[in-house]
Amino acid sequence: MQKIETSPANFMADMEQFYDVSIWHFITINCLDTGEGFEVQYFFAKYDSFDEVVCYFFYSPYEASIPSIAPLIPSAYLGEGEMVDMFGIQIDGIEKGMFLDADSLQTPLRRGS
Amino acid sequence: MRKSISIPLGSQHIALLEPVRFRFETQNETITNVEADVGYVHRGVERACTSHFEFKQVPTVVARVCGLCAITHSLSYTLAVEQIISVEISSRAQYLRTLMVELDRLHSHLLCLAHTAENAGFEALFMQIMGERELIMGLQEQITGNRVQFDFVTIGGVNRDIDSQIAKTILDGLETFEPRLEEIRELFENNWSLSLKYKGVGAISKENAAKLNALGPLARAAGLRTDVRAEQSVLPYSEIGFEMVVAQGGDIYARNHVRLLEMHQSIKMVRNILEALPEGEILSKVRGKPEGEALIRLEAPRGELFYYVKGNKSTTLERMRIKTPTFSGIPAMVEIFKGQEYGDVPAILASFDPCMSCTAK
Amino acid sequence: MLKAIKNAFCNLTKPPLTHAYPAAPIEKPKDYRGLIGYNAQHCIFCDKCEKTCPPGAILFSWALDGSKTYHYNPYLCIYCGDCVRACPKIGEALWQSETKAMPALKVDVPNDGWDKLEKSVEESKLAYKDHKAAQKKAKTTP
Repeated sequence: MQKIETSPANFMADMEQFYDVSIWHFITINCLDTGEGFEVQYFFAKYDSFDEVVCYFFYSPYEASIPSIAPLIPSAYLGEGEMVDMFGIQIDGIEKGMFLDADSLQTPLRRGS
Repeated sequence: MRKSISIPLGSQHIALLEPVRFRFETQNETITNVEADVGYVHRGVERACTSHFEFKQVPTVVARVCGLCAITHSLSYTLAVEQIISVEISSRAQYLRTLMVELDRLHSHLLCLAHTAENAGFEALFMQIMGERELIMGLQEQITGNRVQFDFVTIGGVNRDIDSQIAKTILDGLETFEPRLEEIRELFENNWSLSLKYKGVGAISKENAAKLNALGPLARAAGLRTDVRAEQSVLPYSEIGFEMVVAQGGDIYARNHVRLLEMHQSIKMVRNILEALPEGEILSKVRGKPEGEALIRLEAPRGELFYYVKGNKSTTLERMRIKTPTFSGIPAMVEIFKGQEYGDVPAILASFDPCMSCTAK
Repeated sequence: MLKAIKNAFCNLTKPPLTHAYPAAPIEKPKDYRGLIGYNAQHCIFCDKCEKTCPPGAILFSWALDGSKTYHYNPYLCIYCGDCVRACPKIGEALWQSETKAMPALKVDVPNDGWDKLEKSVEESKLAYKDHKAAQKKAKTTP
């Protein structure tokens, strides 16, 4: 696995330069709670080659709102909705309520909840 | 001006195996817009595996996320953890794991074909295919001791071994099964209610499948060459002769065709595994605790399964992320529905083979 | 099409595919995964089986004199055999038999009875720890 670090400001520009529909296959989005903020990871795999997985990641503080990748990759809205429900991260255009109801335990995967 | 009517396909429906809710906007029975709601069976598996269970108990927990692809879930987690903990796996254990994965693919595809036949109105074929499926599950019971949830894979290898008598039973069982598979395939290609009815229904083009990152038999039926068994090197697929099956058209007929040909491939691979099974131990001792991060991709019967595991030198993991194949396939399914007739919806849903317990973990 | 009609007629005279259980007994395969058996005389009370069990079907309750009692729940057990593999005395203290568990009856009180037992096991562990701490204090203070 090859990990490439980017930042919330350059992230959309990096994605537009890197992503090519005929070469790369988008896997999913992942989020980690590091204690001081979130680490958001995006995984891509290459078609027709052995074990080639690339991960773009950046660090973002708890209250910041990050841009959604759905205009570029239309099938990413489900993964982003799951992260919003599980971690309480703020993503433009994605609302809460996909997996958890209003009367259940909120943001279960954050530390200390 | 035409009015548009909104029809729900509610969370309980007679054609669904698991709860999922759609809301269709239709004009005179042609669908124009779809809203999907998944997450009815959310059980919080990711949080349970990082707080309540230790890392050695997680293979049995994670196998219970789905009933049909149980061995693939516990095998993916085990392969991911074995990368960040120091243990050597013997090649006999890897071959036995691959044997179970291919038998699992057989019975899962049989279930999907039976469900498709039932939605076409051909209930007699549904009963026949379920009878064939019992043969495969009997073979799995001989190997692991249980029909559905196997508890066969553990960190360090596998739990039970096969001897020459069990190997002979498997080969005899496949000898009885293969001519019946040929009969089923003839029915799916020539019978009027299964072939003419399904040509051109629920089609997706190759460009849309690539744009929406579709996977599994859905993408291979549209012409997209994507199969994780050709893109990973952990399990010995290149040694037992794997070939990718691709069809054209992307409609329900093409998907059934891909599944039937994949079953032929699986039978051939099981025979090759039993012939080339190496000698050795099946379980190695595990020492230490996991540290670092690792990821793995495997081919479940419905597509690509992805696990990400992070440990920090304690007995409970820090983070575990599961991405199931149906979760990636839902945007493609929503796109397929647009432009179809409302009466075809249960058949399209059954051919797509959704596993909602996997989607909403 | 003709083959399907011929099949349909043959199915009228063939026996049914389903098994006539419980009139006819089910054949168990070799090495059937059955109930866990226990012998207290060979047990060294190392607690390894209790820690390994994924659903928590084996519990040891502690008495104040240091001895432990074994409890097993056959309705929570998933018959995976991890406890047998973790035991240092396989076959003597802990083994997996080939008997099938009978279904639970209301007189067994399967759910509430086990919940009460779990609570009493927790309390017995805390009571033992307090007892040991009080004994240590009595020894050190003259």
